[in-house]
Amino acid sequence: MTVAGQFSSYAMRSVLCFVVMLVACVPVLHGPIDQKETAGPVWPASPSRPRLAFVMSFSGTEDLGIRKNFLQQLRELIGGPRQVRLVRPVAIVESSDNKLFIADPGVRGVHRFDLERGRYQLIQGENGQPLPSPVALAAGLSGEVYVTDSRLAAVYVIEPGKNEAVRVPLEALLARPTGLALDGPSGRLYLVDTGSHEVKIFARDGALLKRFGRRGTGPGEFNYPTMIWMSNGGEILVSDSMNFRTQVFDSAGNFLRKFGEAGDGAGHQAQAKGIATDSNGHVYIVDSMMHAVQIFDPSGTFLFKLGFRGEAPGQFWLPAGIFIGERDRIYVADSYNGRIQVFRYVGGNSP
Amino acid sequence: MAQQTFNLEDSRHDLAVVLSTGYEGEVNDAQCIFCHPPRSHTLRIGLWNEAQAENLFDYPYDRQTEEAPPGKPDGSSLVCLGCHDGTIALGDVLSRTQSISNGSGIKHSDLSDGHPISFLYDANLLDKNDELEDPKKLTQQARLDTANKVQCTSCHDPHDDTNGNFLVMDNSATTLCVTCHKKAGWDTSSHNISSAVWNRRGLDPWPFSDLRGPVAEHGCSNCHTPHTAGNGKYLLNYNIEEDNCMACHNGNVAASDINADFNKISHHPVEQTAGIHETDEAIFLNAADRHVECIDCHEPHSANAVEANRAPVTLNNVRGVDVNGGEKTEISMEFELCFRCHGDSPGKDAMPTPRLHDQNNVRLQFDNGNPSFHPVVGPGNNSNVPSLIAPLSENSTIACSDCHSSDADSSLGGKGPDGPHGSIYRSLLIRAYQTQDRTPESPSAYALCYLCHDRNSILGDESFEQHRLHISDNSTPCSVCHDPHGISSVQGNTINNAHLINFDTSVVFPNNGGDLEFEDRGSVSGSCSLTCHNFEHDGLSY
Repeated sequence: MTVAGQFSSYAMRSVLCFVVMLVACVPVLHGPIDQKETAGPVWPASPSRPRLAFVMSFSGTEDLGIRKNFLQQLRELIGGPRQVRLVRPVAIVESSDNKLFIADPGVRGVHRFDLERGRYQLIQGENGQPLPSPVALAAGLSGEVYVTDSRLAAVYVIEPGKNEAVRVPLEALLARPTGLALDGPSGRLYLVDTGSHEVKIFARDGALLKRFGRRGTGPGEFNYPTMIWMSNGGEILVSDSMNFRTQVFDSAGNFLRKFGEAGDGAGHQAQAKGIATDSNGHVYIVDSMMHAVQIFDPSGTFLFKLGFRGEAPGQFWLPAGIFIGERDRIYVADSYNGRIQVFRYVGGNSP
Repeated sequence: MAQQTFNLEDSRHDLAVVLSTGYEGEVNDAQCIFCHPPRSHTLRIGLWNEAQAENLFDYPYDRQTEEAPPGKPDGSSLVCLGCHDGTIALGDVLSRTQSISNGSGIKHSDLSDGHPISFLYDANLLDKNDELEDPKKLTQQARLDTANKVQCTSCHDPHDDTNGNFLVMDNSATTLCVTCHKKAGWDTSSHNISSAVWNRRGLDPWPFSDLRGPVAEHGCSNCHTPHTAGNGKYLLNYNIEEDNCMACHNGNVAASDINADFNKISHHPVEQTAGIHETDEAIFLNAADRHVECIDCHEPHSANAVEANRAPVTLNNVRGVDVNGGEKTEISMEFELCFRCHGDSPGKDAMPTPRLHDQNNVRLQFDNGNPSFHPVVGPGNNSNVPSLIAPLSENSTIACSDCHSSDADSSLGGKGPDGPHGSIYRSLLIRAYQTQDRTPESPSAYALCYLCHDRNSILGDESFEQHRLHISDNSTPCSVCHDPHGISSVQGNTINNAHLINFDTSVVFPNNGGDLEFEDRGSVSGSCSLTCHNFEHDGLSY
């Protein structure tokens, strides 16, 4: 997700809301999600000050109140009722036109939920070719969403209104592309290539602008990096998974800082995957081996560990991707629980 | 995991940046920490936790005794799936949504694209699937975890890549698979022992395997694959059922080109359905589920060359329906297989020729209590059939596949394949059988009938003194008067329906008196009351 672009579109919509009054704006935007924000548990537990609130979790169309269209109803008349279910969601993103996209290798494609219009679409490659290993998503400013397929070793774009993902011609050989971030205004793609232990930066037209990192343990070097995120401040955060650490770069790929160490206890990194930042700069890192989301301050000071293996709210089963959208909505792809859990940061501006 | 062998170095599981050489005396910790995170010796409390209430340590990879909810990986498999998720390592290892061991039983569980893991392999599972080895006997390399569950480590030893793919044992001829899976008839199945090899023509029959040896070397993997299966239900290579068979049975591995027969005008329509067949489906399906797949007639785990050469042809381990309409778990006569779909099951097409007594249940047509019938379930009831060609006699029986088989059937001198897969003749007949009225008589027009019934005898009027007049002079097909399967006793009787008489009502009509019948008057004698070819038969007798 983006960065400056996300920020500006949020700001613009806020102004719009202010002008036409609040009435219509809030419920329309992610109604099913925003209406539920008061219920549910909070973390840390009392007497600590609550920082995270559970909003909801969803496993398919029914949870999101998506009605069936005529064609689906007709199909169900013949084939029996069927609701769309998440099988193994590993990544999620909000598009700039307010749709939710969920990468799901279990269905070999990407789910698109249009909450405003109550529509659903499974998106696969051109002519219905499956995407066998969609692992990461990133959204642009015009409603387009990019998806990486690590098995097909390619990046695809889903244009708004289109029902298929079209291959993006990139001027570089990719070993095993995974994590993906997008700088909205410039259209630059930041693509992690786990197989070559580096990050590649592509221009909007697919030209390779820069590659940074190589295999190693030193600053700016990687050992199986996976997920990537661009913060509101334009910093690039990379889960350097098999170095058990997080590395931070500027938008040009210059090393800034790193934090994290191997270990199985809270605050350590056992298997860092999805990474994201909220509007306060808190860094959220999904750790699939710990079945948790760990939260650090921008300098890497450990703040909180949410979750352990389980099925209750705030518990996870091999979680993978994370996305933080407007109003600090935190989405976690809880892969083997077959659901997306949604939280909100409620801790205010304090560190 | 208590494996003794550690052979990680330079294997794909050696993720260390600094390879282990030079790490003397350190037990190569650098290689271990990727799957076994070092114990965190300090209790770290996040700043947000003002009260230090909970122990924040978590050792997820050590927990393997608790019961995971259905469909969820647990135990050491969690460590594998952490990396094999499509990022650090390619995933495609598990994405099923249901448990293998839940109440609905094993056979309906969606295995999605991978072999299930994290399920209890115990007596309860054996109750549901009697083709599994007793877990107590699993003393070889393939093992269960301490909670008696199948995990990734049952087949893979992540520490040792000696056998390739980190397998716990050499898996040529899929010996690893058959450690647990005991399929009836497998020991003598051609799919297990055949020495047939690919002739290098056409598509690669084994695109998912590096092996290039004979069928016997591939074993289970001729058809199945443990990960990323095309068909989740049975872990088959391909989603379309028959594709799994045709990969080899196209003349390029197996000698017979079965695939070619399925491209003929008349064939069992295996291509019309996909995903309907279940191994434990009801013997009679409802009309909507009606289908035919290769595996409806052939049991691939026990299929072998012997069965195809048996006469009458019976296939190993396939279900059928007996003469009384009852289910048979294993057929002993060929017709019992045919009766399953062409007997009492609903949704059948009408017979191609409209008759005075329409009947599309072939079990009823062939019943040996009928007024007349072709001798399939037993010898016929006509003791005087002068046209029969020796060694056939009035006491002979025939099989469905004597008439319904490939036009290339080897019993008639063709090059095969034998059997009712497909034929250039309609109704899947082995030879031509014209039913169109006004067909000029010739040896080829009724080649099917003349296989058993001597043409000279028929046209010499040995059994019916007007045969030549009808068939040859007036170009009337055999089928206009005779119903080849038989006339059920439910509809017909021995007077009007002897000698397979059941008129084609598109050709034969009532006479001016309203009568439309044949009447048997004993040996080679009878009379007809009907109109045919505008010729009035008013009790015309012979």
